[in-house]
Amino acid sequence: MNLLRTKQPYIFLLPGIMLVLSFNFIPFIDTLVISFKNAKLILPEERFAGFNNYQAILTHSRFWYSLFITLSFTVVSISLEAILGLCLGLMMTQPSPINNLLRIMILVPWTIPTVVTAKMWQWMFDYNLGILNYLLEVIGIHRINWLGKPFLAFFSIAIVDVWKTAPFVAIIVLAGLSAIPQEVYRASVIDGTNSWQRFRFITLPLILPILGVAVLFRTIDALRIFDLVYVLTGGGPGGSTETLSVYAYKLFFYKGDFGQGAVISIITLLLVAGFGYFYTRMSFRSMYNLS
Amino acid sequence: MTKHTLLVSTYIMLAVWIAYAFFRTDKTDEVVFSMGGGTKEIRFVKSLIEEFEARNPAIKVKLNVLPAPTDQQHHYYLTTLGAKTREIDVMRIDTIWIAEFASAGWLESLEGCINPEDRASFIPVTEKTDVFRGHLYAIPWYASIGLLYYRKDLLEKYKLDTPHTWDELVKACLTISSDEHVYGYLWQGKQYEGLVCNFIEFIGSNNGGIIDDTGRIIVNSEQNKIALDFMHDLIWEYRISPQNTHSELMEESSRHLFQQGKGLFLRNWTYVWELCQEDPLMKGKVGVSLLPKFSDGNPASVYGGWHLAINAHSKKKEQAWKLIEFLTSPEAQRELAMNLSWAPTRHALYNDPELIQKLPFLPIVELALKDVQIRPNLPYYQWVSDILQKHINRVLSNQTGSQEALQTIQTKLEGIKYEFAKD
Repeated sequence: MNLLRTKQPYIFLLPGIMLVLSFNFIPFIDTLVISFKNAKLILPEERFAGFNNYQAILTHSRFWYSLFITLSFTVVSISLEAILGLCLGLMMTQPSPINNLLRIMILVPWTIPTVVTAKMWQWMFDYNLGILNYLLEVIGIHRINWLGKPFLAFFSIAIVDVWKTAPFVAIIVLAGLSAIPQEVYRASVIDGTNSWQRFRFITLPLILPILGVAVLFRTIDALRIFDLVYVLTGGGPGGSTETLSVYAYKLFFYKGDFGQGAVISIITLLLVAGFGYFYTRMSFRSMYNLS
Repeated sequence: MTKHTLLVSTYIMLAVWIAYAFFRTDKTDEVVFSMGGGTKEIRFVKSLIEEFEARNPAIKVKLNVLPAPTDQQHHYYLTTLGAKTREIDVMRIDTIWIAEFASAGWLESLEGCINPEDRASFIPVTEKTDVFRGHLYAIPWYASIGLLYYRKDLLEKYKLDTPHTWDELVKACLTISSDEHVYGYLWQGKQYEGLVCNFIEFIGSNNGGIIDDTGRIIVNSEQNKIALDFMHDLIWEYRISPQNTHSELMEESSRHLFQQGKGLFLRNWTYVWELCQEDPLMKGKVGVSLLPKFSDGNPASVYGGWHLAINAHSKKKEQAWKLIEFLTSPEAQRELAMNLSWAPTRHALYNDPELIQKLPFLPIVELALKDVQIRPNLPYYQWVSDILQKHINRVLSNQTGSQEALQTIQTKLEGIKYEFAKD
């Protein structure tokens, strides 16, 4: 009985530990090991390859290009999402019947699975049958091939991402806004502030930490962007919208090159982890400065 | 005490469940047949399997239905066969996967199973696509090739013949399309496998190619440049192919446009015929012929058949072979052709009058199969395809010139060939 009592905490922890081990830790170690192997599926056996995979990936212009696309995509879409999300959140902050309805409706894009979103927009972007080109023709503008030119295709994908995830930022901002005590505003009114000053010196500083959390979540997602690109362009035209994840997918599941695919996965992980670390350090420091 | 009972019983349940999951698979003695496809196809194949089970009461077959998109099936096989699964016995695979899977050691050699006469009764392309390093690894189940579909009614209205050369096709498009508000020629130009098939057909019809019989890479040639320039010009110079050919047109999107009456000519696979016959808008208006050629070339169609193979780690290889034997038998193929319009892979069926009446395009398929183009039969075909897709698409989307693209492809393919020669 005594034995059971001292071991008891571990027995309760065991399922959790097993989950973390089997779904996070072991796969990670496995990926790391594979990244040092020549693990092409078409070869009957795997062989140790040292840093060959890393060298092959890091000296390949395709990798640097996809890294560039991924980072540009992250910067463009996250900036738009943060600004738009903040505006939407501020708009919906006053409780009124219309706003209650808005709060529900605005979340709809975010609840739709990304692949479905991508398929939907694929129809809307369609050159011949899409509603966007139909509307353009109604107002007398020539049709646009939304996914047909490198820059435009990139932009179209970013628009869909913003459409889908700005509501997520908005809801988080909304939660942050409702946590700001009303007393602060009342006091500032007595001090004679106007609404811009109240936004600039009260709302914005108090909302920044939580907006930061939303941006952190979104950045981690954006660095791994896959489904939108895969469905909308497949990385085209001519490989111009290929992100890191799409590149990794092609290595893994088209070519069966698990070694090089694992290298991309490890690099993506480092990128995400590095950003997360940098970001939390920054925000902790700014919190200290505030208080 | 109750807390402990709860905890202990949870662990016992977990242990029982794991034990069940672990031992479960050994108890089944079903042959698992894995294939992807449309609802209609799956339903009919199920009925065929029932017939097989009735004839072989000792064998039970379970159909493992995969998603319809081809690349998702490839993905599925890569992960399951890569993990040396025993839970698949027979599988339906694409012609371009045979060398890849065989090289990985996932396919059972069928050399000992089939007798020479039976083997000779299949279409000759079998010996090129299904044989890898001297061993037969798969049996063709049904053939599919690139064909030219055209609007019979419109050509008749303007008193034009079916085009035999690309020049004639362009002329017909320029005559008809603006008056009738239709696109001239619809084909597949998005960055994906379909683009490679189209490319091989264009260059093949100008005596060009990618790899010659000795394995030499011959992409960077004058014939290929003419053909690639022509692909580009269809969109940007003659403007008879839609502006989104390089970004959106795949098999289904081009078929939709054609079936909605928005296209004069369509390059697509064999399956489109049946769909056009079922469509009240298109019935009787669609004709089919060989793809056009350049003036000194020959018509070229790409082979895109589906094949049956046995998993090398299967424990029921004998039963698996029986199933393949049944499914590829002349009578099963006849049923499949009658009900699903699947073009057979046995010579003899192409002379079956009843089949020809049902599928009037069969003589054209037979003709095209005589000199059909195949995609390079290499274990690293996916690498080759990836490079072709990207750089041809760059030409079609005006990001680079044809000469430069062919030069790049040539260099990259030589690099890959060298790389794999080392492994």
